[in-house]
Amino acid sequence: MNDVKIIITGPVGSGKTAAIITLSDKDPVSTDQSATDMTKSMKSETTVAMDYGTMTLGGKERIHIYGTPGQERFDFMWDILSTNGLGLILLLDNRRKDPLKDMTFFINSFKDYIEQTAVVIGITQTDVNPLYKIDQYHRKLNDLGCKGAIFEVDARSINDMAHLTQALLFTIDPGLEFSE
Amino acid sequence: MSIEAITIGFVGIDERARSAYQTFLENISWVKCVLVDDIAQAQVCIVDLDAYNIQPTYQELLKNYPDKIFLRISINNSKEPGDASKSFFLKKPVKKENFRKILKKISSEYNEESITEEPENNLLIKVHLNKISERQEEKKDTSDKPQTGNSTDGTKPEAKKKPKVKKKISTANAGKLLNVKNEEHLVGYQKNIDINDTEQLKEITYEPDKLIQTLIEKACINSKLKEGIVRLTILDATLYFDAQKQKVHSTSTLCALQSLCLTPHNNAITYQLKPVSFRPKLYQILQTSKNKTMEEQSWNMEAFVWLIALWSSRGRIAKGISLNSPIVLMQWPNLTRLAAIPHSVRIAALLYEAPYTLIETADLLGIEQRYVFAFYNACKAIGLAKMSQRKQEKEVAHKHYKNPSILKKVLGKLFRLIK
Repeated sequence: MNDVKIIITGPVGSGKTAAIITLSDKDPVSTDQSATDMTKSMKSETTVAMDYGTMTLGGKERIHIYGTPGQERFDFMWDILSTNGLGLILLLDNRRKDPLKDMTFFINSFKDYIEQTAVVIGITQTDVNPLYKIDQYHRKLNDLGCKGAIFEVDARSINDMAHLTQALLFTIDPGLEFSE
Repeated sequence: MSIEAITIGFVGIDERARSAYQTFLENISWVKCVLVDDIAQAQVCIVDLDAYNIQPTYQELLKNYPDKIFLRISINNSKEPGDASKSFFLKKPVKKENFRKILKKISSEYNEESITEEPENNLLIKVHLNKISERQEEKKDTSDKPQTGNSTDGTKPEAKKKPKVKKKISTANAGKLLNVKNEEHLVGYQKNIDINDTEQLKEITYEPDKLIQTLIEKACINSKLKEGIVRLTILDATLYFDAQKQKVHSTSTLCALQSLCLTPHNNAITYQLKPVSFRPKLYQILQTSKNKTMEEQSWNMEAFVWLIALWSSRGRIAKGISLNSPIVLMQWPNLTRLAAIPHSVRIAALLYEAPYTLIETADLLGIEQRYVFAFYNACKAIGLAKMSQRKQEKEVAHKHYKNPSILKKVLGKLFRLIK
C-alpha cells in the first residue's frame, strides 16, 4: 500500500482538529475531552492525544493526517508521529500572547523533520486579532533558518486548507503535475 | 531472559497526559512498564514539576519514599542536585530518545541482565488509535464541517459514475486547482512568445507608468512614508490609501476600477495627503457612497495592489523587465487572501526555491508564459519579487520527490475537494 502521512501541529486552539476535519474524507478519529486545566479558558475541549483523519486517493491509497496534541507535555508524541512523514503543516493562532514564540518553539521541535521534508505555516484568527502581521512571521522564519509558505487560513475553509496543502506538496516537488 | 516489570506512578499529571505516556510506555518492547494509581506501589514516580502547586506534594514524596526513583519533567532547567541513581530529569519538550535512555538506566537498576533495545516500530500508532476507537462511543458531530458530500451518518453518497478511461490531464489544468473563473481578466490570453522576436516582445509589453498601476503603488508607499491618508483622484474615480490601517477605500466600485486599469490616465490626476484625523470624515464619505452603490468599497491594501497589477498587466510584461534575468521571490505571497491566478502555488514554490528567468519558469513547469508574467507582475507590485542583477551561474537542481505518483493523486484529490 502506497500510504503517506502529513502531520499538522501547532499550539492549543490553533485549529488543528478543524483542519483535519476539513481535509478528511470521513469523520476523523477525534480525541477531544473536556479541558481541565488552563487551556479551558481557550477552548472547552482539548485533544487528549492526537486527532487522525484520512484522505482516500482511490484504490487503497490514502493520506494519513495526524494532528499532534498542542501541549508541550505531549511532545514526545511529536517525535514518534513524524517518522516517515511527507511534511509538516504548522498552524499558529494569531490571538495568542506571543505567536512568534510559538512558531519558534514548534519549528525548533520539528527541526530535524523539517530538514528532511518541508513545512508550511497557516496563521489562524487573523481577523480576530490582526496585531501580528504575516511579514513578522516571515522574518522570524528567516531568522530560524527555515523556508516555507505562510498563509492566513481559516482551518474550516477547504479552499484555505487545500491551498496550504498544495503549497506543501509543491514545496516538496515544484515540478509536480497532477493526474485525475 | 526474564525482565521484571517496572511499576510507574504519576504525580501532577492528569488523565490526558497519562494516556499519552501510557501509550508510549506500552510500546517499549525491551522493558515492561505497568502503570499504577497508588504511588506507594510505584517503583518510579514521574513528576510534572510544572503542575499547579506541585512542590509541597513532591517534597513530601521525597521525604516519605527516599528509595523511590523520581523522574522529574519540567520546562525549566533542573535545579535540584540529586542522587543520580535515584533522580532523573527531562526538560520539556521531551524527546523520546532521552526518555528511552532514562528508562533504560532505570530498568538496569532493577534487572541484572543488560537490556537489548529493539528497534522502534509503528505499532505505537496503531495501538494508540485502537485505544481511541474503543473510547469513542459516537462519531464527532460534523455540523461545522464544510460540505464534502458525506452524509450525516458517516457514509458517502453514491459517487457519480466517471468514465472508465483514465486520462492524464495536462499541467495546464493544474492551474484549475484554484477554481479560477474568467481568468482572462487576470492573466490575459496571449500565446507564448519567442523572446528573440522583437515584434512578439512588443505585443506582450505594457507600460504601467501610463496606467493607474504605478500611481496606486506610489500612493501606498507615500501613505506609509508620510503616515497619512493619500487621496488620489484619477479620471472619475477617487481612492483613499490608509497605510496605517492597511486599507484602500474608494467611492467607485471594483468593477469601475477594473475598467480604469487599462485606460491611460494622461496625467488627469489629483493627489492630496491628508492627516489621519481625516479618517472619521472619510468613513462618512464612504458610508454615503456605499449606500448608493450597495457594494463594499474598502479592501486590504496588499490584495488591492495585487489585483490592480493583474488587471493592468493581463499576462503581459512591464516595459524594462528583462526576460533573461533570473527572478528572485523573496517570500511567498499570501495566496489565500489574494486574487487567485492559475499555477500561482507552483510558480511560487519554484521561484522561492531558486531564481529562474520567467521563460525558464514557464518551461520547467510546462505552463503558458502569461501565467508566469502575471504572477511576477503581481508579486513585484507588492514588493515580494525582483530581478536578480546577476545571471545564475550554475543550474540549480530543483527538488523531486521519490514517489511523485502519490503526490499527484493528492493534488487531484484537493482539486476535487475545492471544485
